[in-house]
Amino acid sequence: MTVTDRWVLRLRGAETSPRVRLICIPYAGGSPEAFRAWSSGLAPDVELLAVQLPGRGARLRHPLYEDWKPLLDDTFAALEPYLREPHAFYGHSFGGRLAYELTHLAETRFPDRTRRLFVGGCRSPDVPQQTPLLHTRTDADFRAALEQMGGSPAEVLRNDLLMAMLLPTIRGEIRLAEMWQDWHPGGVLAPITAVYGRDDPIDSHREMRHWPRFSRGRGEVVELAGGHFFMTSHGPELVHIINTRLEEDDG
Amino acid sequence: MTDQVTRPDLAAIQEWLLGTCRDLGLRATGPDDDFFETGGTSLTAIKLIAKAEERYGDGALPPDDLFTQSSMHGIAASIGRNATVTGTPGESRA
Repeated sequence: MTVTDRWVLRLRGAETSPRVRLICIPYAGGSPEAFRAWSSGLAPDVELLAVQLPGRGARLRHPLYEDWKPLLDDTFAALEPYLREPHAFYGHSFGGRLAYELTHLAETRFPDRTRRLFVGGCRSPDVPQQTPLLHTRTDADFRAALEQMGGSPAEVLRNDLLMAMLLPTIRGEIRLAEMWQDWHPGGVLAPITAVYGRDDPIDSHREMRHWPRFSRGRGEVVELAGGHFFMTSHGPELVHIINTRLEEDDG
Repeated sequence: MTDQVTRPDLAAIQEWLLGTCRDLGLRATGPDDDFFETGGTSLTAIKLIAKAEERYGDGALPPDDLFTQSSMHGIAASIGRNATVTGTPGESRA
């Protein structure tokens, strides 16, 4: 199995030759499997890929990233074979930050191939990180906070053996998400669709309303029902937004 | 019978494993398929470990093994090494 196979999962091929490839990046500690449920709702000519970062699933023992630069370099290298054709990114929360950074890299390396950047549940780069920070808390407090956020089943969060294996990954990615700031003088060229959950206690309208400023193209902010993990609780609604935007971009 | 634990047959474990994974919603069809690349998540991992223990005894599938040798044959081999009961229906731990 090649490195690329482990980094990138093809969740669904396109029925015909793909019009656009949707590359998804999960939230901190999230599995690429979280996006598989989208397969049936996406337009048939959209190919669905998801990034699998180290520290989970079959990549559990692969070294974790402590800094943004190597994380970005390696993720971009793994994605390179997929970026020569038209593509769009969807990133959720921590994955939204990664998707924004990857869009900058993709636009430099493969101009005019990034059709759109979708970010969900992710503050815009200019909005300061909410405090108190999560990643510095004790294990017990950190686990309690995760349970309150509602992204992982309580069955998983309360399993000590499993948590001993997965907590460093989740904490490490939340740390990167909390450290992330506006590192670019200009925004990306691709249009941006920023989606927030109406009841998200972390990154809702207030934290996401500036996203259009980070596109030199068009930008929009869209509300969905749900909390921080609306991509799971309101998957079909989100997929509908993605389908309509990708179709517009093609026209 | 001696007091030594009779090791369950690997082929039988493999067959049980594939059936159980399919029941959990995975798309695994053969020994080379990977648990996580056929739909396995942390939650299905917990469920598989619980089912393995129910059938092959406590500690039959250490989580560490499942995550580091996640192909179907790797998981079956781990159960083969760690099983404390043979898992044959109707047979008890004795």
